[in-house]
Amino acid sequence: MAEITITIDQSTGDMLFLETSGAQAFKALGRLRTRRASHVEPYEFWPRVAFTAIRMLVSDSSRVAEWTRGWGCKWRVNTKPVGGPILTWGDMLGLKVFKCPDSDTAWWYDRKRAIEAEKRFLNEFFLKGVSIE
Amino acid sequence: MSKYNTIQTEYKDGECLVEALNDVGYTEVEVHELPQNLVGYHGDLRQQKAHIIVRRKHIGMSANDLGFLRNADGSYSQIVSDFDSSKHNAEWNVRLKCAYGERGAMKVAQKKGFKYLGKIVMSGKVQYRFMDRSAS
Repeated sequence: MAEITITIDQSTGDMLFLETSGAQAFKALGRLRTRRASHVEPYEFWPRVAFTAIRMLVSDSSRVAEWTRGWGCKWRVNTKPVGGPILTWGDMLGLKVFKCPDSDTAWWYDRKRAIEAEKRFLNEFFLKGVSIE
Repeated sequence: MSKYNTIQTEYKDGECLVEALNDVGYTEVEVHELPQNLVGYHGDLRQQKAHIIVRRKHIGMSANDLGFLRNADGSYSQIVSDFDSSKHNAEWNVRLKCAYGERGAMKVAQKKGFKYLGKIVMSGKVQYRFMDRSAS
């Protein structure tokens, strides 16, 4: 079971949705443009550098990319591609807490959990924040 | 890593377009398999043809018919006279697009067997939420 959302901008009539296998069907509704929303990347600096370097060299569907997704490290969610934050515990709890860069960055050992948090955050962010263009 | 898709709405589904026209106030809409001539405000037959038509009597005094012509690629183009472009202006078109988007999303969701969870309206946006029961 997975939650799917589609957001309609009432000022333009245009739509936006996160890419998931189920949501592919919404593509029929008009002219499509696909963009990167976020990255789930290693929390620690050096693994993140290695991860980013490798992922720049290989395609997302490659076996090497698949291997990097299986690294046994802590993961964080970076939503900078849509102008969002690197998720903090405050973002996760919906609290506007005191921001201390990096120290309150949220992390997960289970990458799937990080992806779930990423999707939850992005769906809310699309509703509140990002403009649909 | 997640990706997102933005969609510039195009009228591709005639049924949803008719429902969207209903939603913006035109409850009497003609649908034709073959395109029919539009009628002008004098009652004159115009050269323009359309598959989906809102007749002028449902639009207002001195109006021309509003039409949507199905193109070869299956999308619909709107035919609106200059005279009626103040009524069927950009703002009206956005309302129609929003209504079409909602109808289209609901139809897709129903077809895919998604469970509708509700909608949230916030900051000039409407978000429709569904549960994909087939996803792992």
